Amino acid sequence: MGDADATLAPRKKTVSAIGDRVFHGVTATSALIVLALIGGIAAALVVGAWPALTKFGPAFVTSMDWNPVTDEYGAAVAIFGTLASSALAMVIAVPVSFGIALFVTELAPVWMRQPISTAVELLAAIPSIIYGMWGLFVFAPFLSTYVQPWLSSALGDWPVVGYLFSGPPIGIGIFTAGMVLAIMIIPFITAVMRDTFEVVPGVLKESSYALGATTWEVARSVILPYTKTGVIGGIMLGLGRALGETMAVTFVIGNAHSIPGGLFYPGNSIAATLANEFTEATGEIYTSALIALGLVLFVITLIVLILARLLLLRLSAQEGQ
Amino acid sequence: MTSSTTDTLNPAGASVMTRDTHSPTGRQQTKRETPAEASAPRQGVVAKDNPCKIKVENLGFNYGKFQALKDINLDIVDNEVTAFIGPSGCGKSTLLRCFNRIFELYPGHYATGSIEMDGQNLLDKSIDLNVLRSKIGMVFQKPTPFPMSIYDNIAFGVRLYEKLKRHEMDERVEWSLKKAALWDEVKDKLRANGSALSGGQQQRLCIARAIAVQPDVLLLDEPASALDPVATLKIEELVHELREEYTIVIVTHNMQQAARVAGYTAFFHLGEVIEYADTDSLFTNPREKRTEDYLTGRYG
Repeated sequence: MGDADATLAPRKKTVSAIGDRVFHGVTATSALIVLALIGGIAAALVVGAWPALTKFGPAFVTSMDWNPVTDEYGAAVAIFGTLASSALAMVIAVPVSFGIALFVTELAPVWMRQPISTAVELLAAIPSIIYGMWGLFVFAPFLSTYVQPWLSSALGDWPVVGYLFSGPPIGIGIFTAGMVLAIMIIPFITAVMRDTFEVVPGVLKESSYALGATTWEVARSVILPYTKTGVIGGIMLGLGRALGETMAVTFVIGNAHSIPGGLFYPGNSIAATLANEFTEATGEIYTSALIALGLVLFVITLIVLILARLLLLRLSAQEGQ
Repeated sequence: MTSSTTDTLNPAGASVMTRDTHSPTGRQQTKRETPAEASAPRQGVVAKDNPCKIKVENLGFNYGKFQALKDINLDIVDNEVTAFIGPSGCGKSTLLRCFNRIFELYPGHYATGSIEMDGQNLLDKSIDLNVLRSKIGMVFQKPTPFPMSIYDNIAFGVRLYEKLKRHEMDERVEWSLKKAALWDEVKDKLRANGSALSGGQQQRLCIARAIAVQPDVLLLDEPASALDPVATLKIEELVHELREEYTIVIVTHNMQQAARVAGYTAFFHLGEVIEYADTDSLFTNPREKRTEDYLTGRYG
């Protein structure tokens, strides 16, 4: 005992303690850089957007005018296009991703799991410009020839739903943008879901199967609740990408500055507007309006993240503490 | 040798209090020492007087190429507790997992031979697995509460097969929690998450969940091995009481636990049943050398 006490004092300040402090400092700096970056980007956006924001006021987000000739700018069309194409993408991508992830982790024979997983990952590796070209030259004509006419005639007369599937079946528009976005974000959502499904303890699944539950019942009542944080995280990752995706959307969305009468109409998204017009922006207000668009996108992403947090809080409140 | 084991367990003449401090099971042991209790497991040799619930015949089991069970023949007695003991990797859990065919979740695992229950071969491909599993409940080594409230943990399995009205479900939940001796501890927090309970409570929740669907058979795979002595005692008392209504098969590493709760005990070694008898004869008078060696701690 006495010996141990004696060795304690001189060991207090050693190289390893200094190393620890240096390491602490380095990691803390790295973490703080993230905060600084976020703050810096937000500040730069606000400063750049200031002239446009002061000129147009709150009407900037509600106005549908976007006219470089008269220098009148409103973001409503681009916001609508961004939200509509992303929403459509989520509606398609989330169930499909869930199905793929569930199949790969629970249902598929072992020999099939790796090939499917790899294929999904390869899908994520394709550059977005290629999705854009493929969407424009292959997918849009396909949709315009086969899918859109059929959807219009089948659902066009329905109330509400009919509005969604109305418009000229030209293949270029919000509908196609949403479809391409869905294909682009499926790999991300799938990969996250698969990884979280895989960490569900085997005994937990076994005990639900042991009660006589079917695979679907196990997935819905045990796997999903257990992995909800990861699943929602994956969905948000996908949504974040869909909201900000630029190249592929620019190719297929149509770049029309008018509120579309339906999903088949050409429209515009925030990112596509920025990509198309930044090089042409001449006047100060024009540039500032584009930066303000960027700020709007930033805020939308922020809101999405906050909503995700709230959703998680509500879910954990539901299942008890 | 074995009798010495029994001696330490039976506080005959010794102070009960001392036993209690040394072994949490002292209380139950005292209870079992009453003549009526003690005579119960002695009634007859395996499957002579008591009806057989599950008949295992020529059962083999493979994990891929590895044969984990060889030619198992065993009669599980109705409304009794049967314990499977033996060293790790001897196949006792494997056999347990054959009864509800939970092994089929994993590719390459397969069983041969037959397991007959109520005149049906459970290994028959035409058996509806989900219905089978609703009749044969299982509790695992580690507590596995589902990520939902205590109430829903119980109701989950019931909802799969029965459409109960709200008050009926309430009653069922209360009934099974009472059966599992958990009701008094959780009745005020049924909406709390199941994982908020202590380990022992979680395990009793799992037992309540298993009996809520009213199975015929209860399979317990080392249900107390992850629990502290007090929680273990509660689980053992529970098993003892449930035996009146269910056929229970319990796998345990703890030989004293087998001696305390089981009417019949099977000793497994290297994928074979070495000896199967009523617990008292197996522990006091093993026929096989290997059983005796294991019971006395000479190997395993």
